[in-house]
Amino acid sequence: MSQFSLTDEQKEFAGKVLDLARRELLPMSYDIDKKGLYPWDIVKKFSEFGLMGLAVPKEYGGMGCALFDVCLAVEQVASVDVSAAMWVGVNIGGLLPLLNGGNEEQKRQYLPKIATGEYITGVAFTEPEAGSDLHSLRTSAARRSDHYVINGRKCFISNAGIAKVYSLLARTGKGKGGITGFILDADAPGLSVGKMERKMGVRGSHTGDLIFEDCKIPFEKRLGDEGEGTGLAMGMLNFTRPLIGAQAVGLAAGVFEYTLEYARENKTRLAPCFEIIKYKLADMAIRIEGARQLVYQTAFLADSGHSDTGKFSSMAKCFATDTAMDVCIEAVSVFGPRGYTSDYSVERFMRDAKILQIYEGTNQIQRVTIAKALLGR
Amino acid sequence: MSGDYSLTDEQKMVRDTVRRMAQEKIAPLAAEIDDTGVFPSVIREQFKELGLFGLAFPEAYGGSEMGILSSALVLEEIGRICSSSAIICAAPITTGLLILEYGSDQQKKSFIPGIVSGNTTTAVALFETDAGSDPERIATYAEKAGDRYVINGKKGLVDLADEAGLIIVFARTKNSGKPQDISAFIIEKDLTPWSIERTVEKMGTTAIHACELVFEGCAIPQKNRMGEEGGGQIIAARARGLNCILAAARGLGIAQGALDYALNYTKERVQFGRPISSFQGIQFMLADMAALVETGRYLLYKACAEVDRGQAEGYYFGAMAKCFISDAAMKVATDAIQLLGGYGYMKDHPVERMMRDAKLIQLVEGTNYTQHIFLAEGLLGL
Repeated sequence: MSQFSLTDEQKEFAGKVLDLARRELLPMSYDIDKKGLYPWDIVKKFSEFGLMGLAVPKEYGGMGCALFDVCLAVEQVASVDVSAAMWVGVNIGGLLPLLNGGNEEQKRQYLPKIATGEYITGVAFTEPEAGSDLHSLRTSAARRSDHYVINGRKCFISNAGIAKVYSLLARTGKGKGGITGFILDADAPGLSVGKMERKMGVRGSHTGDLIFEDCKIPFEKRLGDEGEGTGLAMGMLNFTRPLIGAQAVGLAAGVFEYTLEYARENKTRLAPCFEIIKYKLADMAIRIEGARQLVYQTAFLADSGHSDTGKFSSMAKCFATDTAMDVCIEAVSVFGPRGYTSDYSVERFMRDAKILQIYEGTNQIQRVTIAKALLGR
Repeated sequence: MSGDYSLTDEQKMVRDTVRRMAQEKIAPLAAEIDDTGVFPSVIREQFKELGLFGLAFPEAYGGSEMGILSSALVLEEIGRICSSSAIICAAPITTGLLILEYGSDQQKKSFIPGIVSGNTTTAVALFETDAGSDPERIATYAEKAGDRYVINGKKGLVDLADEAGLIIVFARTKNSGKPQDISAFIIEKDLTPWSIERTVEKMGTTAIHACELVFEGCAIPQKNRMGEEGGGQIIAARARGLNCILAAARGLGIAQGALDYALNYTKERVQFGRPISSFQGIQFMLADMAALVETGRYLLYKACAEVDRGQAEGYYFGAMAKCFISDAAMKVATDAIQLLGGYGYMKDHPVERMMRDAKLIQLVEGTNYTQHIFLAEGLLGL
């Protein structure tokens, strides 16, 4: 990006992703939401395009996109269907610890398969007592002769039951330095998928528990050294938080398009309130554009390795997701009682939007992070 | 409510009784009601047993003459637990009060006792797809034919029309372009059944089915016209006024319920070695939520008290309360999910349902946009 505008190449890329998303998802989104589908045939088409391997370096068969272009792609998908944007986004989250902390052999083994969509990934960090507070995680990794034995429970794991491989954090010792990252194969002995969640929205993205009962992970699946898990998590979040911001911008922009179209087509029906609706539309546009620019700027900083990346990641995530939620709530109001029905998609977007304020660190935690960066510890 | 803004002992007793009943009888079913979207007849029976439909009606009709404030208290308590159930309780109250105010003696005698006892279920059909809730743009037509009216047209999103035995329908009796074109009619299902073209899927309050109604040559006796021919506009405004108050009460319940749930959760949830309620960032959210709930509550009670004193401005406060409380409920429920984090987004906890249910209240009886315009017209004397 230069001069705060997209290059022709980026515009063309975004256009292609949007076309693909619309073509595949528009006819399916209603069912994906109602039935909680994870449609493998669409994921396959995403894979063929390269969406499942956006962040995989070219040498491993991926598209090798910088964060900026990843955000651009995810934004387009989210403007049509947020569950689908999660298929892409979660997959990136799952491969980042491997990409950042894995050795060459590990990368050679997994990344090419992730790039082609053969392996879907997941992130196994969160636990019932360790949400915002990652350091209170309890799942244990006990060292044996040539393997670790994992015991514990992970919850709210996206792609549970779908992923072929997860990035796992478990405790090899006490305290902040006692957290270690692992590559977890879905068929590891002693691993099972537990309760699947029933959620308000993003129902096409499956969420569930992972249960570890003396689950064996060989040494060679450890990511980096013991105790490096926290760093892997932070590295992932610096990348995925702007990505959630991009999901939010896409969601908000998608809803806004529908709302604008509805307002245009229903001018007569909306006539008594049209003046105020114009104000509301303007407010939405202001916030969406602000959020978009903040997300782009953040991605740009992250790609250039700027030291403020962490702070900006949190700001972008927080601002964009709060924007998405507010835009959706207002959008349903513009549609009126009809917007409350499944005849229109705005109610689905509104339900979907709420999760963005919560995952990848709640917006409260983002504020804590921002304030820490501002004030210094 | 007396002048010192406190509830009477009688009102407190009603509130506490319903609070207990809602906790015992509705709470265990609330999630299932939402999931299945099946109308919970068993809860209607509870309301009947406790005489909740008749609180605001004169004793002469079997009511307990306790005013609309008592009904609001009841709906608030039910709304804390289950918004669908609150609508079941509210719908007949609006219908009954309309008949009480605008109906003929014969209509009052025939219909109100059944409504008060809970034997008659009702609905109000105002909304049309192309007219919204704006009575002036109603297209449904009632053609006079001898001692009958023949109604043709469609109504959209009529809550409970599939359960109702009686519907108040607003239809055009003239095409002069004046407010006096609209009249109100009472349609009894036993005499002239209506057909339901479709029930519409929606985001929340799923057990209250929003129906699209079709009237094709639906002939009703002239005696079932409510009020004068051409008096429908005024009745529609009153229907909206009453519904605003009752919807606000339901919304207040949602807000209170979501706040209570989030309060308990934040006290119990430990992160970073302490309950999250000990963080100022969380405390500020809780305090803001509580302030919205309390402010909304007294605005609503004020509206009810004025209506019960026979002051027309009560409905003006009621419209304000509907706007304020529905926005508050939406914000409080959304924040309650936020305070529960990932748990709040799951159907294992009620706050996501509360958020979905809260959204509806911003949209009914004219969206809050429409209500704001109405309020501004009042302020500006337009």
